[in-house]
Amino acid sequence: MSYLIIDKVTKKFDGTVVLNEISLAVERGELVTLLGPSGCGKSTLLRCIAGLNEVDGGRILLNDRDITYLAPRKRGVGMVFQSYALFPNMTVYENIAFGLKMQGLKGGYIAARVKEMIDLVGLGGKEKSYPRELSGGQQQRVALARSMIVEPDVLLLDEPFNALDAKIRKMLQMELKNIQKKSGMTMIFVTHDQEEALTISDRIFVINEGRVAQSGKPLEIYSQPASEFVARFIGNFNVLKGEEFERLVGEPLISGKSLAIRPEVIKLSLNGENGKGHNGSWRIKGKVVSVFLKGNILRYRVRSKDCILDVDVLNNSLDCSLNYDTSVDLVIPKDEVKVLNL
Amino acid sequence: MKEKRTLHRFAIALMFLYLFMPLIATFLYSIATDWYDTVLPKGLTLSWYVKLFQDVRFVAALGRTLFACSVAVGLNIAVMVVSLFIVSLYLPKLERFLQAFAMLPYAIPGVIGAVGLIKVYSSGPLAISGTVWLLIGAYFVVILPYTYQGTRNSMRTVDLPQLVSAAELLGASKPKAFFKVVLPNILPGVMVSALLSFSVLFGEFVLTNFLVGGYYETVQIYLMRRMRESGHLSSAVVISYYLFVFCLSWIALKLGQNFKNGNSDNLRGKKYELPHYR
Ligand SMILES: Nc1ncnc2c1ncn2[C@@H]1O[C@H](COP(=O)(O)OP(=O)(O)OP(=O)(O)O)[C@@H](O)[C@H]1O
Ligand SMILES: [Mg+2]
Repeated sequence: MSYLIIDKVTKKFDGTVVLNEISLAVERGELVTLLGPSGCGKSTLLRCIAGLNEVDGGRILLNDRDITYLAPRKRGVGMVFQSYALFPNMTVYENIAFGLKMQGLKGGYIAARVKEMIDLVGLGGKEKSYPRELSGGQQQRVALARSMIVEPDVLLLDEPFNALDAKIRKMLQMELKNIQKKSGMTMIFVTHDQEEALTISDRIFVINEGRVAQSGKPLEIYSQPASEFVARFIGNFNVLKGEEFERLVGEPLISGKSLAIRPEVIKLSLNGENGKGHNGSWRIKGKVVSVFLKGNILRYRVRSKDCILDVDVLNNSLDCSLNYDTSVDLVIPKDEVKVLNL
Repeated sequence: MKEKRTLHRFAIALMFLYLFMPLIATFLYSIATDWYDTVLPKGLTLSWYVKLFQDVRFVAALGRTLFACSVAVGLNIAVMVVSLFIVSLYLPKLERFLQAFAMLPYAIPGVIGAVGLIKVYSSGPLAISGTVWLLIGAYFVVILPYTYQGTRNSMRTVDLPQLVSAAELLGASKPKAFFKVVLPNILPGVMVSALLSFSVLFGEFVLTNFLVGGYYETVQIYLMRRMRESGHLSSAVVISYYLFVFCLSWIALKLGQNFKNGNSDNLRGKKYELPHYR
């Protein structure tokens, strides 16, 4: 049996269904992310697991215990809040020691554990600082240390890095991943940033409208989206209706379902150049509508037979960028076209 | 430029002189031996103060006032903090009701309140008219707006529900979360409103005179009585009284400043501003 099981949990606020019989299972020692757009119920699910919200139906099992109706402090669940929620009246040391003090442990033991924890999150020398004297990244480390020191069965992290700038964010993502591997703690990480989810998770649950839209390893989800929603949300896929695609490639397809093509698998070349239009791919003609510079890649938006396709090209300086209205050839590998089931 | 500044300073000094003149005169009168037909007092003495503080009745009156005020403020703060804690955490819908309720005393003039209270409590099951208990009850009501506002504001500066959630998830029971996390964070603000209420009550005369009058002689009533006897003595009372209220306000102000510099800025600012790293 899985370590944490969410079984058909329903949660309503004033009659509005926020979690709709959501079910998912997490294994011991895993770091999973709940990924979904704003308002899809990620925080609500975490708060239900932590016992901060009561559920309207379903069960939550943790480590073979039914914790659905237990008080928050008896669940063995820790939580790191997006806004840190550090105690402003306590120093870094006191914040981290709080959980152990509540367990009534001895001062000497607490001191040793807190020191260990402070070293783990790299906050040495800041023991006597108050939260207001720390940077955002440091505050988040304190929050992490404070929740981890009591060794909860599962640690919930609700968009913990959202308020931080990109650089620190990337760094803390890597650190969190390392700390998680070192400690073997089970963690559920909430984010609405697909890149963050792909970077740190062992498994991803894509959530939409209070249900799991798809779950799987990051690579699986990225390369095999199951639905239009996942395709659009995860990888900026080009999603085309069946008939649109038939018009585009001029070949009848068997299924009438929608199709998804990742922008980076489409090859782009100038008109007339000798592209290899062999059997394994389709070759179509189009015109550039617009270009976006996205750092190391250029994203061309190309119109072809009234369909719009995004094409990502590595931004190496030899290629001079193509201008508006340039005619181009697109080569789409057949096995990169994913049929969506929903 | 420089001349202008001198002018400004002069104007401000003049204004302060004007404002403080009565107080200065009162002070001079309270330390004067005789002050009839001269510009300045004939001689200076502290004997009025000595007399005042040696008067058993003054000391007793002071004690009574302190007692009535502290009991009223203490009770009020305790009730207010607990009810605001419960309301803001578990019954947020009742907050408006509580606010309206707490603001009510503003709307009722002292005289009307006093007459009403005397009428209700002079007979019937709870005949406490003319006792200190009625006074304490009335004081409790009078300061509701101050303690409500102060306590609520200090609760708003921290994200109370989230702090309590965090404490609970770390294994704290609700009472422990309240005493270890909530109370220390709102205490400075609560102290400020307590001191403010205290000085409001200390200066309150109408209600006190109507409700207890001579039955329970507070400083206010004592002052009224002595005023008819000796101007020097009542001046001394007024000055002592002012000093006391001044001290209270100063402490309140200091606490308030600490509170502002310390607690309140950390939850608001830090969350959004991105601080430099290393
Ligand atoms: N206490 C509440 N009372 C009423 N409605 C609520 C409450 N908490 C959440 N909701 C509603 O539930 C829905 C899901 O909210 P939730 O906070 O779980 O979203 P989220 O997925 O965490 O979004 P975000 O990424 O923006 O944090 C929202 O529509 C929200 O309005
Ligand atoms: Mg959220």
